[in-house]
Amino acid sequence: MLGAAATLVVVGMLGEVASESVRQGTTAGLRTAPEASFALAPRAEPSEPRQPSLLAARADRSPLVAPASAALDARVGLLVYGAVTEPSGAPVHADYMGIRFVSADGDQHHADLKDDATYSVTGLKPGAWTVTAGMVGYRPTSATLDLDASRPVTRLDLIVEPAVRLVVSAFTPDGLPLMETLREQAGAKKGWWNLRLSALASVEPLGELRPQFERGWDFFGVGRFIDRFEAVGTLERKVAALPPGALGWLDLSVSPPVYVTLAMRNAVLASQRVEPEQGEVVFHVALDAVSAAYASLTARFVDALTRLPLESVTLDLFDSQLAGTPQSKSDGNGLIRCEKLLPGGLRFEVEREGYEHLVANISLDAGEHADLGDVALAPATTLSGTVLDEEGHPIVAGVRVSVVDSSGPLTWDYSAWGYQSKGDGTFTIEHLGRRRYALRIADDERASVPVFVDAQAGDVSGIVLRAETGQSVSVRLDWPVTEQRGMRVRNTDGLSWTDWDGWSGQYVWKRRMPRGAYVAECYEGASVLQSLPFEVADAPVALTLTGK
Amino acid sequence: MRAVDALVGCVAGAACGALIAVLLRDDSGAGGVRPSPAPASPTADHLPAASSEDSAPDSAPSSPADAPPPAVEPLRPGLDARLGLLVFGAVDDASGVPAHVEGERIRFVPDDGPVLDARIDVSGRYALPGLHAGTWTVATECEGYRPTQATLALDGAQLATRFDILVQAAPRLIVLAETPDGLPLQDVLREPYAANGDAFALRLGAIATTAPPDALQPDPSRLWNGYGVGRFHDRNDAFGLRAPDIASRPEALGWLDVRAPMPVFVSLILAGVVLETQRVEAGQEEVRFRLEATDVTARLAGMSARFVDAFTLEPLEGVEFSLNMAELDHHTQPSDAAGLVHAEGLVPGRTSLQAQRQDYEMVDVTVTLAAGRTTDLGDIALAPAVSLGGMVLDEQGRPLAAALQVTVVDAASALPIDYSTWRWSSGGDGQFELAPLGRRRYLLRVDDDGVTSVPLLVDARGGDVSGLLLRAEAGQPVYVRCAWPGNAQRDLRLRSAEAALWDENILRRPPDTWTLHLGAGRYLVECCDGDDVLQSVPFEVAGKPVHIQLTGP
Repeated sequence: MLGAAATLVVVGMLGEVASESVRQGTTAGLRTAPEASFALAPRAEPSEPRQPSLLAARADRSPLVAPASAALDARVGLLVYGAVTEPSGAPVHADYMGIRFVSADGDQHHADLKDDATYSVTGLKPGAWTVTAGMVGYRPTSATLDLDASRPVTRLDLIVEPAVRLVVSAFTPDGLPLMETLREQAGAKKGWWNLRLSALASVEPLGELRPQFERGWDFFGVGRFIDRFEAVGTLERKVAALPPGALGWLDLSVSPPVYVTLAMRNAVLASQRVEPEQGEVVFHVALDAVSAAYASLTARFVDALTRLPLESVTLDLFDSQLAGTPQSKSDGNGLIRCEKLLPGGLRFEVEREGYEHLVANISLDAGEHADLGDVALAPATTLSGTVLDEEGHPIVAGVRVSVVDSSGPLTWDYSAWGYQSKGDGTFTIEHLGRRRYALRIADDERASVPVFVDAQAGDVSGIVLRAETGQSVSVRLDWPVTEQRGMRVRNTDGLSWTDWDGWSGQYVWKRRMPRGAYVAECYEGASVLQSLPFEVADAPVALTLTGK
Repeated sequence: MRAVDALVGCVAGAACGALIAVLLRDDSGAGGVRPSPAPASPTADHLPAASSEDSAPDSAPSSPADAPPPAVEPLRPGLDARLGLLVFGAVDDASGVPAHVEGERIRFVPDDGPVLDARIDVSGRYALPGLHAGTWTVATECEGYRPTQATLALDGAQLATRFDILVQAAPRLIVLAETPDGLPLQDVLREPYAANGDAFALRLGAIATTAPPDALQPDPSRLWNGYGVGRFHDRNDAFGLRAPDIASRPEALGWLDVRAPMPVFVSLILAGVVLETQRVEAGQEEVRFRLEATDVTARLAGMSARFVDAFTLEPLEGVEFSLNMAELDHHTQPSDAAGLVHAEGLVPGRTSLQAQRQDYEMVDVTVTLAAGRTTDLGDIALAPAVSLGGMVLDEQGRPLAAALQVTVVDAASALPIDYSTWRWSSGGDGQFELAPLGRRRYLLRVDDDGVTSVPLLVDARGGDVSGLLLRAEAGQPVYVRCAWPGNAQRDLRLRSAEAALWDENILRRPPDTWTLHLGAGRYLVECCDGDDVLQSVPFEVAGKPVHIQLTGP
């Protein structure tokens, strides 16, 4: 399953024990005792620390016991626990880590690693599971595990290999530490800064990078980059030991040779091949090359109805982690010019009293000057209505808004904005524009069929959203954990339920969705790798995207 | 309560004879099932054959004599000892509805050694490896439920033990506060401060007690939320909680989950000042307080102080100071030519005062502001600024980046300087420079995850000190078992042998264990109720772990 050598030791519990190894992608077999046993302790009950109570008295009369069964227990399910060690037998010391169990039918459980590098997970069902361990400083490890209903407790120890670690440094051609020099130029000597340089690792030389909406790249290809300027917690102490000029380090999930690329969001500054035994990568980058990568943008804001220019429109441009440039304001001609923008994806938020609050995404290439031309702002409109449950009772629920017809360089996107109905079921959404919208319920427990609202003529009231429990839809992303691909789920009207281009494999995306026809797609850049149409009706839906 | 009783009958009745037998055998000390003849440490190189003795809990009653427990190999050091014994189970609501306990922790407190925590998953299940044979106290304090506590005896012969927990929903009281003419009291109180953004420092809260409360230990921080037998949730801190529907009730301050049977006494408080108390009966779902805004503002505090040079005792002009959480109106003025400062409209209680002036040390002192009057703090002496420089090395002598802690040894003022909430650190080259400190004596130590150091006494009364060397070490674990009677929350403090305050505001409620790592030396741990020291235990850290039991007064 993995290109890297990963070893899995599987140990049965309380009886016959088996141990097999997984190397170079071979999955371990698992043999455990046909039956296992466990002790049953009296159930703990509510206690009253200070005063005798009904429940405390009850415990004396009739202690409760849990239904005992050595086989599958519906309440607790099957249990897997174990330790995670290095090949030397030493416990792993990982700053951040998780173990993920994904079943063939799209069930997913997470286990956290405790300080002593042990873990446990309950609620598993019989069948085949993919177990993936990912942690800072170690190669991702993945294997399959077959669980049997007759064996309630299984011990599974994982052995993970330390990642090949490359210290990444960058200097100017005359030997000055690049990041420190850039910071000094910008007067940002210490603490947080919106500019991040990232190191990306790939097996092949990199082509064009997908638009990056975050400040930088942490996971990419076969590497995980730890940025010394962003490290927190225990990592902060570790990066403090790095010498000047070091940007951080790359933990590789494969052995070199690899290609390491220095990137400023979507701008590739330099790239080089790294050979086996190499422990450091040093880039030399001219300050001018960094300056040239910045993008710029102009726009003219106009009234959507009169087409007259709008003065004092405020524009905020920032990435998905809310790092951005200072707010800009349009002049008397409605013009705004923004310089020194980081290349890549940006959130584009516009406000002016009496007009819609425009929220959109834009993507800028390295060095690009984007002229957006006229950006029309519609007079503000308000949508209001009520959310009812399946019995017609008003309820509190999360409400999402999508713009139906978004076109041009700006992509309207209200996905990061959530609204909520009140206790009486009513909701009011202000500062939208004279456009067509789709409203729907979107929270963990409920869904609704989208309601299309035409607000082109002004305010709309009396909208009714009918909540339904919907059906559980799971999409299993069945590509290697070390690879990232895009995945989107949308209905046949084009309304998106999710769309992100950086999903790592061996993960299950899960939502409750209303009845309707949908399509789940796996993509890479503009190429759709796999497209699965599906229908939500009376039963849960479980899909698997392999990306092939 | 009736529903719970009914459930008891139902479940107990449903438990078949086999289960009762299992339980009886548990009580007999022979374990709930036949002990497995398999070694307790199954490993890859040790493959015992499965046998029928390994099977599921025996459904037939059986005395210990029927099946004498075979010898069980002890857990081997290393991996198996680390995995230890496993406990797992489910947490259910005693009323029969699913308990909303996702993410809550279950504390497993041993007689000695560190507390282990199990996290409850989204379905109310948990599992916890790493336990050892012996007696454990298992406690929960799940949000919205009464605390539970039980004893669990683990036998090394059983690698896995199922232990289910029932929790009971806590009675919930919505706490309302309004003026006599029906306006939301807190909004009325905050309105004058809304413009400067400090309004949230004026927080009304509520406590529940089994008797009318005595005078409380004032504290303007939010530590009163868990006082007595209630847990108060401010409506503005309710993110992610299952809140009652109070969105349309501006007079609602939040809600109290009550841990004890009704009746209880509910008090409206401002910091540690009790404003009004009501008795709340069983079945009551709300408690409403009506007060004039002036009843609250009359309890606000004032302070005055004089800043002086620590050596000349001459007044210091231009000292800037702030009063942390106590400030409602952020307009404290620097000291005047006579060194005097004055502030009014403060939240009463214990707070920290920070002061600084060019060329002098920056200090942080803990002060207590009396309710309804101005407290004269007297002279606050600032020493001329110095810096302490040096290096941190690890046990192999390599430079180490680590967090450092500074303690003032001999504060001359009646208001001791407290840097316990401050953090300094060494850089990647191990170097550190701590400033602006004053011309005083200090204890420096490494205080970071997994490393500590023997405290280094530094005398900076003569000026800057450089060349200091701190050697980081793993230290020894110190386990402070909280075993005082009842369930009251206490404040633990640690002092060094020089009586310098080391750490404080470690709030604990039994059963619990405070685990810390300390370098060699002599220390004192105190169990406190506010400023009152209830118990003081001296101890020495040398070459082995230290176990301390705090039993209260």
